[in-house]
Amino acid sequence: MTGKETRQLGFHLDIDSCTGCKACQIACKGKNLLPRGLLWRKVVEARGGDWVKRENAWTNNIFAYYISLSCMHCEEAICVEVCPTKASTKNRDGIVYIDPDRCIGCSYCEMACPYGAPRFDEAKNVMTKCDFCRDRVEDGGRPACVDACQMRVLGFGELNEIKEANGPNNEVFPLPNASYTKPSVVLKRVKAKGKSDDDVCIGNEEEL
Amino acid sequence: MRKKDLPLVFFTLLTQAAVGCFTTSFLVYVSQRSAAERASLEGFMGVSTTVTLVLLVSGLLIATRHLRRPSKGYLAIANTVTSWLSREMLLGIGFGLSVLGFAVAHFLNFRSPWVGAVGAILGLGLVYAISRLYMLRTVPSWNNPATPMSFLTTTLLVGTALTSTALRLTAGEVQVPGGLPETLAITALALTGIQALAIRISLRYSRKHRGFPSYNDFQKTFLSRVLLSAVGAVLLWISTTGLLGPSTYALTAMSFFIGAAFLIAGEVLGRFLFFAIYKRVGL
Repeated sequence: MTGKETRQLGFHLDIDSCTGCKACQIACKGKNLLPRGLLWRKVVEARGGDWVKRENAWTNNIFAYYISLSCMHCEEAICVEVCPTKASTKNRDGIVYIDPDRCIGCSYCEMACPYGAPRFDEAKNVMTKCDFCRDRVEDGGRPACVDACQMRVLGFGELNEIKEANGPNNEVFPLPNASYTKPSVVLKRVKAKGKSDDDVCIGNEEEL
Repeated sequence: MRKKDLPLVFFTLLTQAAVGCFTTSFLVYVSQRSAAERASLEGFMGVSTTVTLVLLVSGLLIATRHLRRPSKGYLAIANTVTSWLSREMLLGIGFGLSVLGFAVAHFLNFRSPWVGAVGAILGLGLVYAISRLYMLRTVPSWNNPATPMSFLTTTLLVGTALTSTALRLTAGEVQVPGGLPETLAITALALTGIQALAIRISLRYSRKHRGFPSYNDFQKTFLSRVLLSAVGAVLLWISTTGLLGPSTYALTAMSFFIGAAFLIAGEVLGRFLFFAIYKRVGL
């Protein structure tokens, strides 16, 4: 890249193959030395289904899937729009980053973000969130979560390229409609999960 | 309601009370036709302006408690291009300086209505900016016309209550224009009706999102809020009409002050209700 060329980096996740092991979550916590109670990447368990009687037999249509979530580094990041001090900014790689020197801890970004990405760090008195391991990425490396994924279901790349390779899907329950902030993520989900989003609920809400 | 929103409840209420007090008092002041009539309300304007400044400064002090790094608060006007919070800060500073300018001008016997007019306009702009700040597209129960409607109505309702109180307290020193207290009371009644609609509208917007707050979740609180404001407005009106009969000064005064208190209590409850219906889409 030269001059003022920009690109949009994004994550892609194969939901059908994710086992919910949380290696990504632990790697992120370790790399960024996050204190107790603070997570920049969280694994959401979505589940549904029930036991169903068919004639004289009982069967079940129970299912579960996992979504490894961090900041979506949205194309129309609402946290960048609302931040009064310009602490939350988007760089040339499309990475949304919170500058701790400018953050006043007003939590307006937390109030606005539909993915719950900005989290308050009590020790530092500022808002913090996933920064795409930009120190590693700028050196040609990979984010810690991508490196840690044992199933190789979590990846990253230039958003247009990963959309071409995996399809453009970026909406799966419990994620909101992508039109709100245009998240830079591609989610691969082939298997049908339940008849509608009403059949699904979050299984680890307290953990999140 | 989230515990960390508590300073915001009081900041928004105090700021809107300040804008309402100054704006309605100023409207009363400039609506007098002659300079002599305006001069007779100087004591009343002095009380109103002082109350405005006290409310504004109190709101500002509470707002700094919401910030985790208030020493960097000056950076909050850096993003007026996209952030309504930055715009709110700027308008707040403008409003405060205008009110202070109005007070100083009157102290120096420079009685031009233009300084007050600028203050009133900046104040109403400040209330609009506060309402837009909460109209986040990811929060359906707030992102609808009921939010600015509710905030503006609160501003004018609390302003009417405070202005009526200032008039009553200075009645011995000022010549209260005929019909003014009744006009203010009827205004309060009308605004209460508008306020009752606002919260229903906002909950209707969030109803279509799964798991979002509905009217039924807050029915008792909503009805209590409407009842408080309505009873307050009615008591205020009764105190101005002479319905309580002659030689009932104490009873009239009691009706007035209880009415004003109920009206303000209704708005305080309403603001808690506003923050209680906060829910983001997604996670």
